[in-house]
Amino acid sequence: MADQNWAFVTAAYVAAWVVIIGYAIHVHRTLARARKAYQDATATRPEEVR
Amino acid sequence: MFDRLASPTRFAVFAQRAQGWAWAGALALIAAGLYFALFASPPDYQQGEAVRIMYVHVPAAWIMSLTFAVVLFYSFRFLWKGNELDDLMAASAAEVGAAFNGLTLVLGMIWGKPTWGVWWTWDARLTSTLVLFLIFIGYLALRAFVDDPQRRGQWSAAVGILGAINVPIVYMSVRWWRTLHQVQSSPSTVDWKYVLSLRANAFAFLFIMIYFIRRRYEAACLERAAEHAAQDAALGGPDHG
Repeated sequence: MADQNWAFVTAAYVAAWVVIIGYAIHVHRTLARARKAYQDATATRPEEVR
Repeated sequence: MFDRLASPTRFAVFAQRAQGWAWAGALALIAAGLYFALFASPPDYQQGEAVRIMYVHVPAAWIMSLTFAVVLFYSFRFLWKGNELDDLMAASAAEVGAAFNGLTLVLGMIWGKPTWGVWWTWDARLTSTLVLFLIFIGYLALRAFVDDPQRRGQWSAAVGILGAINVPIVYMSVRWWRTLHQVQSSPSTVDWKYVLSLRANAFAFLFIMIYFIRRRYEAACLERAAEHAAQDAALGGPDHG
């Protein structure tokens, strides 16, 4: 029973860190895409870049 | 100070300055949280080793509630002042809250199987948490489908407020209805080792939440600035009117 519970504990901590690290990767990719979109949108009019 | 930080721009400046300290604090708390949860905490006399799942499940639920409180605050502020940055802050918090909400459900299921013998039951706490998750999935879907920024902001603020109002229902569900899910514990009746493990992980998750909202908000502002620049370019420059 105790060994079986450790399997659930391991699964829970793996799930928690997969979600947290997975979301961190998603946020970094979104930020990189947003930076590129902003650079592309402002690159055509360099006089407006502040 | 609270009123000053309520402005998303000022919050962003504050968060930028605090980022280094937040990272150091987060790493220390994550290490401490893992140590207390997996090694220092004794097994519970009823739950056995499964009690260790509580140290991530409960903080995930707390942070989910806190994040939805951020959504509530900035949604009201957007409807009141009409500042687009408030809408972007609410949307950033909603996405992070949905991630913690999903995590809470998954961890609850993993805890439920060894403790209750089932992965899922249509209990008031579990069902209301699932409803909350679906409301915020709807919130994110709504934002993806509405193009007009003003309408998108107003509609999503309405859904965000509706979703956040559900949080107290989730919290009180174990007292209002007969549920399989236990009622909240009090720190005064729990051994300090359990309390310490819970709090270390809760603060670690808090730092992670702040970091996620900060980065997501930065991305949302850049996306919006790119949209504005593209619109200006299409209309022949910023002075087209």
